[in-house]
Amino acid sequence: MKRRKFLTIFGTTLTVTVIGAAAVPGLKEGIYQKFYTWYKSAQNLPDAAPGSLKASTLQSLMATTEALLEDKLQNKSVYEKFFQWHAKKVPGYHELYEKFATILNQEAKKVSSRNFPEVDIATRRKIIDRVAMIPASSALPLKVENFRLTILERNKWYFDKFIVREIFQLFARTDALILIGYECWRTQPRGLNNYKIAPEQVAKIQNPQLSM
Amino acid sequence: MTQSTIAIVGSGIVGSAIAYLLTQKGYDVDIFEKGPEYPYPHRTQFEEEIAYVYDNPAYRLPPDLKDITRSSDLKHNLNADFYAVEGGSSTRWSAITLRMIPSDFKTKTLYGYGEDWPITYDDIEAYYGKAEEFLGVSGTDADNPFAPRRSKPYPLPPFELTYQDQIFAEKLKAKGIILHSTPQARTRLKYGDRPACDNYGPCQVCPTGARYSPNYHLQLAKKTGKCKVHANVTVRRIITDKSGRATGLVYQQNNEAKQKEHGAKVIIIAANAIESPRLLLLSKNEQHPNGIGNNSGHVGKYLTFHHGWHGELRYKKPTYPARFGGWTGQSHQFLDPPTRKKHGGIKIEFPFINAPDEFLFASPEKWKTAADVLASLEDIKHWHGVRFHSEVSVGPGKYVTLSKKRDRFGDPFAHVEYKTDERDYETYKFASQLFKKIASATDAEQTKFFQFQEFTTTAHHHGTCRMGKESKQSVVDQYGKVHGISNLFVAGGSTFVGSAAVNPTLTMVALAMRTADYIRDQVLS
Repeated sequence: MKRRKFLTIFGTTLTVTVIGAAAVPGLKEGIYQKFYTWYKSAQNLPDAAPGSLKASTLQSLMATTEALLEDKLQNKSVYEKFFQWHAKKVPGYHELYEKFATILNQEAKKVSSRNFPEVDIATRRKIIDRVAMIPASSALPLKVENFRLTILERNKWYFDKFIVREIFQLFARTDALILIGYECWRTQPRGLNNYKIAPEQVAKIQNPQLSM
Repeated sequence: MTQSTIAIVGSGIVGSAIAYLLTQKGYDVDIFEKGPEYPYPHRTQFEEEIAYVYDNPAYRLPPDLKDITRSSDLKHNLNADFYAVEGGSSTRWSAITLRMIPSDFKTKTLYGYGEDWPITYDDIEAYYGKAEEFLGVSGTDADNPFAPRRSKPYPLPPFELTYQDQIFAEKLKAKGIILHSTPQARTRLKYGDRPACDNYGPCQVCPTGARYSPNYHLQLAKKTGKCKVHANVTVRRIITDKSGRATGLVYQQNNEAKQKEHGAKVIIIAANAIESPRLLLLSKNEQHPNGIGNNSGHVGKYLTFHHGWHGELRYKKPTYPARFGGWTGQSHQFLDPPTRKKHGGIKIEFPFINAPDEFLFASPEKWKTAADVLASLEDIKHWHGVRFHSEVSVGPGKYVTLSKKRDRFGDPFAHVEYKTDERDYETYKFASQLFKKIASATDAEQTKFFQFQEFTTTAHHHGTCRMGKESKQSVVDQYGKVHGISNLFVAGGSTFVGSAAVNPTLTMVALAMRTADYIRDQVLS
């Protein structure tokens, strides 16, 4: 049996079992509730001490950002700040970022003798797709696929949710807004004049920076 | 047992206002807050939550301390409505500060539904003015022909309409709908030591204090040395003596095993319209076998929210939503429609504050490249939201009681039973008609609109300890004093008799200021 087929059958069977158990009175409050609580907590980043990022790790994260956003990436410092802030302040991120950088380098060395930041963007993107991105189309329904990933491909789940998604999210509220015609990012103090006139009439602010 | 002149349960906008006013008169106040301390101004929270999209668990209570069970028609997650921190849910409110209109106080007499309030608009008009000064409200009635009379101007000038609202206003006017500016507790200019709004954007967390937060007055109250806030504390019971008079509170640190008592001359319950009745019900004893204030069985009854039905309109030309963080255009034309005997009043909002999730928090799985993100946002900038903020019918099927589920101390959580009725459905039909009219008047090319049962509560909760002239029909009198107990008060939206169609907070603060005056003049003097 192929690995994918096995995982599909396994994931579906487990889901049906859990949902079936939920339907049995009494079990719902007990086993199902405990399982559900565990499953939800498994989707969060595991607790681990915050800390400063190594320069090489930050480099890998920035190389990832470049590969995902390509020529649309405009303000690199915003992303650097974002990664450093999370590593230093939020439990779990430092460890996640370090693990991510290690895996990226291992994967890069499989196809070249270099570390991840040193390979070309197209290769970087292929590596990211393989280790850190949940495919858009799956043979499984979304919830089942999420369940399968949470249980069986935990690293990929975390990398997608806490690195890749967050890079796109940060892009959406900063550079992307400028690219689609807004004069400011959402987190900037925008004053009380511009909003009353058409965006086309407002001169674009050059090199916007986070207000923080 | 510790002791103070006044004990307040809940540090939200109502509890903070009363605490501030009474400490200014020299009284000592202890406030009991279930949630943690919450720094002010909220710059750190803005940085965490908005700039770095980090939901700090330090500001979230665990589910064994904060939960509301629900049944019947309510799909909306009530637990998300409440933010249990020092300062309460108004640390992250939209700050719309509207006066109820005179007819809202006598719906039974005028339209045959609900009950009349024991007070009229004229009774609290002066307090509305005081509340507007207290919160620093920016507004004007010059463009709003539906505003009730006022004896004082707004303390600050209004926020002008956004570019898109100006376009809507012109098109809607041609079809007989008036869109006007919106009064809000957000500083259009510098106000005292609060800075002028600089339009940071997502106003649910204001980094500067331009949008009013209860912590502003809370910190001033603390500075007097007369106000102590006990954070991370759950109040479990109100204590009464043999005569039934309130003498203190039983409370417990959230992380401690032993409960404590605090005595006070006056006790004020300001814990929101779900938790206040819960505490009264939990406090049953020999003198109050059905719960305090519940001799006639009215505690928890007459719960109302506002039903928020949201619509989306798509236009050929981009509307660029979310260029202003607050709110500008609203229409108060339908607060008191000629058909109000049949259905509730409606306020129409064009909510800029509810910017599309993709602009800040969302990151859909379909985003795989920068081009995907841009395509998504390109589409979003053509859509514009409209919300119908609607009056809710007061009915026997909407109430708060005690849940079977218990908190970490073994006390039952609150349970909300919520059955909508025919009048609510008629209000929805009216909202749907207005939505179609707006879509047509503004040349929308595509529309989406909520189904009836998809309403949100708009995080507004009223009733459950309603005010009235007699204990046979109500829980408290017009000052919030629990019938039959001269030193126990309930303050906040829980004392409302009906929901009206406007945001409740200004009325809550006006009533709180009136209660503070009453306590000072009639109880403590």
